[in-house]
Amino acid sequence: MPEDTKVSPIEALPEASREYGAIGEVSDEPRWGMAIDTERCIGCWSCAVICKSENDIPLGMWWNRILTKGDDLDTPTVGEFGGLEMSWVPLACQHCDDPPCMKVCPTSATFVDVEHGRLVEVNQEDCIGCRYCMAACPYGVRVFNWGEPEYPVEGFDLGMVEPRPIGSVEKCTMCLHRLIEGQVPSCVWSCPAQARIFGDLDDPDGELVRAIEERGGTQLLEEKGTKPKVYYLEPRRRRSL
Amino acid sequence: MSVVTAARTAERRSWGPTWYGLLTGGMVVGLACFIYQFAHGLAVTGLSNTISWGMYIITFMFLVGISAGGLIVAAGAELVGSERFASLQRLAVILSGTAILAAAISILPDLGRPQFVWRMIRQPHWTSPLIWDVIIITVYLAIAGIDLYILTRPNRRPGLLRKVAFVALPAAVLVHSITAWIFGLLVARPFWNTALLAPLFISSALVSGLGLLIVTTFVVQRVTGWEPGRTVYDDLGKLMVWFIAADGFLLFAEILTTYASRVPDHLKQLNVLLFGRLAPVFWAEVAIGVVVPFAICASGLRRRRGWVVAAGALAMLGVFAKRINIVMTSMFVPLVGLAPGIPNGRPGQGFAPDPIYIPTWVELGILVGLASFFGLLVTLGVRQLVVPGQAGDAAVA
Amino acid sequence: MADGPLRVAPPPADDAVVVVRDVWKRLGTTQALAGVSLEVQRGQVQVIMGPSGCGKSVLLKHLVGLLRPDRGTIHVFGQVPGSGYVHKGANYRAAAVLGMSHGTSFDYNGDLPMAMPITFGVQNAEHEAKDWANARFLLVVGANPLETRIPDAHFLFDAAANGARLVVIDPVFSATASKADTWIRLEPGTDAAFALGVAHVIWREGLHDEAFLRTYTDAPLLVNESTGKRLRESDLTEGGSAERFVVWDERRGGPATVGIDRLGMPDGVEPALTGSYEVRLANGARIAARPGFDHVRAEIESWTPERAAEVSGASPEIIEKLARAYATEKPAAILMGGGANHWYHGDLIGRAYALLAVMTGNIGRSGGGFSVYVGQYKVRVPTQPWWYPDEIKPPIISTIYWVEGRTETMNPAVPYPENGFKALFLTFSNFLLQSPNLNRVYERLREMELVVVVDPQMTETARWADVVLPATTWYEKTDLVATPLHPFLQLQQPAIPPVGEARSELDIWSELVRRIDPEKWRRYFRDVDEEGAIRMMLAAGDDPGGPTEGITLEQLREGPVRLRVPDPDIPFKAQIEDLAPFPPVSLPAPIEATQVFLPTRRIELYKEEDRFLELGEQVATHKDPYDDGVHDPAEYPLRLLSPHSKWRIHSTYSNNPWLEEIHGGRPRVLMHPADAEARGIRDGDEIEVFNSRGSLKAWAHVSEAAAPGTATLPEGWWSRYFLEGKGVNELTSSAINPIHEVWYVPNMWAPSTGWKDCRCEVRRA
Repeated sequence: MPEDTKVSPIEALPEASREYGAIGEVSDEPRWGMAIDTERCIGCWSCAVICKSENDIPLGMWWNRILTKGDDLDTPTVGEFGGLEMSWVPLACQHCDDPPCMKVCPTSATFVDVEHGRLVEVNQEDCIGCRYCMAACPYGVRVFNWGEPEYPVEGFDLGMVEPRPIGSVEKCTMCLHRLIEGQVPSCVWSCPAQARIFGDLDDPDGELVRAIEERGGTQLLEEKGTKPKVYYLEPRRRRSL
Repeated sequence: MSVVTAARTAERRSWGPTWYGLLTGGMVVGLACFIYQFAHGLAVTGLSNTISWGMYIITFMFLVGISAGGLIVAAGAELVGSERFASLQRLAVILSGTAILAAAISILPDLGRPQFVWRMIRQPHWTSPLIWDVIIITVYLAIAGIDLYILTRPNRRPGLLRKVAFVALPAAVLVHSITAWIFGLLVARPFWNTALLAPLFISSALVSGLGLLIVTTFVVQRVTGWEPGRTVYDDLGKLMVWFIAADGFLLFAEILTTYASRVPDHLKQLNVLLFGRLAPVFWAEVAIGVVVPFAICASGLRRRRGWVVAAGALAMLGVFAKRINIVMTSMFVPLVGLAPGIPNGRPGQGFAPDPIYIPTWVELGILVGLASFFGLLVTLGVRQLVVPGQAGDAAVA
Repeated sequence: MADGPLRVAPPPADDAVVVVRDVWKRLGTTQALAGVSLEVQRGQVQVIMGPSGCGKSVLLKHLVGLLRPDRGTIHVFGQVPGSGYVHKGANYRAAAVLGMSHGTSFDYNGDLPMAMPITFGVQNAEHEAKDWANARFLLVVGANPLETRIPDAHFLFDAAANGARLVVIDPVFSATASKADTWIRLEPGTDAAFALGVAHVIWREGLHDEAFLRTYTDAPLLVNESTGKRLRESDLTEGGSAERFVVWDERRGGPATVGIDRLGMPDGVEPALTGSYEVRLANGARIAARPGFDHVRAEIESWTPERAAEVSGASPEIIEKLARAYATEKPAAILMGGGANHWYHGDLIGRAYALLAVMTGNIGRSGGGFSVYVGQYKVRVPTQPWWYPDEIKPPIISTIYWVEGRTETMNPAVPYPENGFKALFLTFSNFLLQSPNLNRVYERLREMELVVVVDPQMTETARWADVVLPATTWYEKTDLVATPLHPFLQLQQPAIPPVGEARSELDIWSELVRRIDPEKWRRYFRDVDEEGAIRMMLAAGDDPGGPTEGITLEQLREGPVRLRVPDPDIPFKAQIEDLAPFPPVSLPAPIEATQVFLPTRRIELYKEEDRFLELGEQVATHKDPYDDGVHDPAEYPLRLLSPHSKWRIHSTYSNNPWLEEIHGGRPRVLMHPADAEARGIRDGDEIEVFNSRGSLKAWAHVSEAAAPGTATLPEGWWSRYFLEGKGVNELTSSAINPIHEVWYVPNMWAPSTGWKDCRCEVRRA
């Protein structure tokens, strides 16, 4: 679309939306993390789709995917005691505090961004496309530009994030481009069930830490020692009639 | 020159151009495929986001292995003071040096942005095993070069070779161990994440390196009439028994430990290997790559050159299959295996809950190129340094 | 959506610019044109030659629009108007002005919950979604809001976080079921039996709200045993009013009369709810009379938990527990969806559930209610000035009559065209995919002289059309939108300019009217635009107490504006709090049109109209699904359910490439492992699903999520995704329930399609 009519999606937001997505007050050196409420996640993929839109992710690639805890996509499994069970696990980069991907990257293209909440970011300029990080990530959240990026509509992009070159790896950036504008990541902002909480893991009084403590938050593959900064809140207990 | 030798020489001359033509053609094919891949990206391979490492890495592993194995045999024999393999030393070092050079080259097609590989030199990240592998491969190549140089000097200082062997042997062990640690230090891949991985790699390297040495010795002998020694095949065969035994023992120990302790994510990956999609390759590898060569070399058949060569070839194939199994077992079964899986990565492909990997013609073309490169360098090396020098070697020894 | 390979674009320069396909025209007794077809390429010159009187002028006049079919009517179909009062309104405006007929959509979609007009006299009335968070008990029946009302899902979680209990009734283990405290699997179409079993327990335990029944419903009104009609004052005394009804006052031991101008009972009267009483009529006869509720009592007493369990597949224990919890954990809300309503007897199902809410007094209070959430049908502002200029109204005909033709029981008020339908003008709809009984629809299509389709994309409907006019999407035009779930008015504003040559529906009609009748164009279309239309409608509601009081276009430009309705917006507040008679108005119908649904002006649990009596449906009862009589269960043992999928809005976005990456682009039919195994079908196999109306080939998805005896294939997959067949609607039924023809108010009391009432068989392909 013509450049002069294009407006950054954050600028185009009505005031109420911008307020809803505001990070609020934070310390000088936050340690950014996220909590995902597996009770509220309904597996709608809104967050995954908006991530694709926000970051101009090419066809065939997803930074965020919603896994079904069941037998198949949106299919339950028979639980421990014979009843049917189904829930969802949204999975994107866990921005680990001890990231295996960063350790194995030969050129430091993957690095821990200490200036921005200790997020794990990738500088595609330095990426040589060896895909060692993809082998090293226990969560499988990195995707590779195997070919030239393709989009559903030629020539249309949001332009919020730089396009990534062929042969480089990419993954969730925790919407760093929004964080520096004081807005929460797109997935947090867009979740219709309000299942995501973003904040500073080093703020004991913040909404994020309180939610993790009160609701009980666990980490994926905790035993692997990657110290992921994404927590999953336990589903509520069911009451029978 | 006897009549037989003359005939053989004549034969050699008429085979020569065809051979070189084939090798050059193969290299051209490889280069063409590489250029095609560079233009279109790695999408032209069979790789995907789930199975993100394939033939190139497998080949790299295999080449480092045969390189290390060959040099360990040569250096080991030197250190132990064994005379038996003296005649083979040059050949072993040529094979080893060529293999490591081919290995280094084989990494390039695996890179998404090979034009930026120099960034590894400019800004090395010291925690990355890849950087250490680059360093050790460079050192190792230098050592192999020095070793070959020394081997071809007519007036060698006594004991110099021994000193080189002191450095070469650990270097060879290191080069393949560091290659192993590229895989073995990853918590994301339970099948690789075992202390036994480096020893397993070394034992496989020995088997494959030795296998290559046996096969090449035979080929050189047949084609050029070069005489490696009367008992060489028997001796090599005896060595092979020990190497296969060690390799088999380590493999058994690894599988037993994983299977008996039943750690879920380790077991899930192991099951793919033993009973799942990779089972045919695995059990074929065990039968053809381990049991058969072991049986041949452990029995009286070892005295027959043809059988030993067959055993060497099968053992080599078995190790190649093993490399495939190692990489694929962990790649097929991601740790977080819930539906719908990992996106394939190509437009219109969606998610791949049950991915497979089939190498494409581009990958096979590049392998052909690498194999041709290897063949060319070995042929030249053999022509220049092995065949003519056999008398010289005997004099020194 | 806005761009992409299927966006309708004019053909390339060397294609035909004039296409005439199979045009027929009769003038007087002469068939002037009989199946004329021709194509004119751009830049081409064609000569039409023939002897005098052969029809040349007639043809040319058709091409330039001077002639239109004067026999039979052009039927304009546009989907439910809530998502576009301006442009969907343009359809109505043009139909009114040109004398075309306009089709209904709410009932055609099967979404009209007939239980609502039958019981409450309204088209539909639901609590706004945020009120769910105020409930202590949420009973979700035949609805899957976590997939179909995604933006409102969080209200259910808010309720649960506040300690509310969530019970979900669904044959399939859906996303909503996965979050329930209790999930109850019922045999599809048997909800009425189940609900009546629950009512049985509530009645037996005395957990019902007698005061509520007396005050707000027809429960105490006496019914003449021999005629089945309610007693009126005019029956008891000469000169008495036909609009006053009779109750049995237990205090006095005799009849008393009540009027319709106010709810409640006269002071001092204690009306009986049960029993049989002897009443003396004006003509001296003595008849037995029972309160309306006594009929309900008789019905629900027959539905013991055991009997209800046998029919519905639930357990008697669950029925007992649910009844007690629902009746005591107040306020309790029932959220009903299409899954329960899309049945031939969907009205009985709704009436049975409504009975629970009425018996427990869970009506008109925050956190309670009986709400049916289906579709964006709701007209929340007075649209008449825009839709019906100068009060000219088009004849509005239930679209199902276009499919089925006149039925014997069709209500005489239906303005069915004397000479039938000759042309179809389709907007906002993938009509040839989303209609029931598709093969029948295609047959009817062949009788059309002209089919015009207005659509942004080349759907299968567009492909079939004689003329396709490219429409703008909602991203490219201004409109006024509202929804039943949230009482907000929103201005839909363009994000991008129109793509290519696409025009909005208003533009299209303006251009068409200009060519057909320039005088009418000058009067009704020339000087109006989207903004003008919006201002017109806002002004019409800008009276004190009106829905749009004080709302301006400028306010709407800034963001959504809450309508002037109660907060939270719950229906029947005036009735419950101020005893105002039922029913409240259902825009855009005048109150006179819908009042007739409730002669008593109270919530009616008993219906006295002849057809209800003939069919034995005076009170809510259970009847087996209709299709059981069409398709022998022995031959077609599986029920075909076609719910709404979260990957689409019905058929819109079926072709979205991102979503296709997720769900794989293959229609899958969900089956239970027992049914699959019996047919030798494994997960992923190609299968054929068929009945006497049609067939399709797709893939099997075998899982215990499916109810045994069912095959579930979400609606909306475009035809091209199937291995064979047009889609699930080849198999669905277009049967018309005569109860839905007792009255006729378009989209409010009209035949409501029963999509789920459908049997089939499945075999490996």
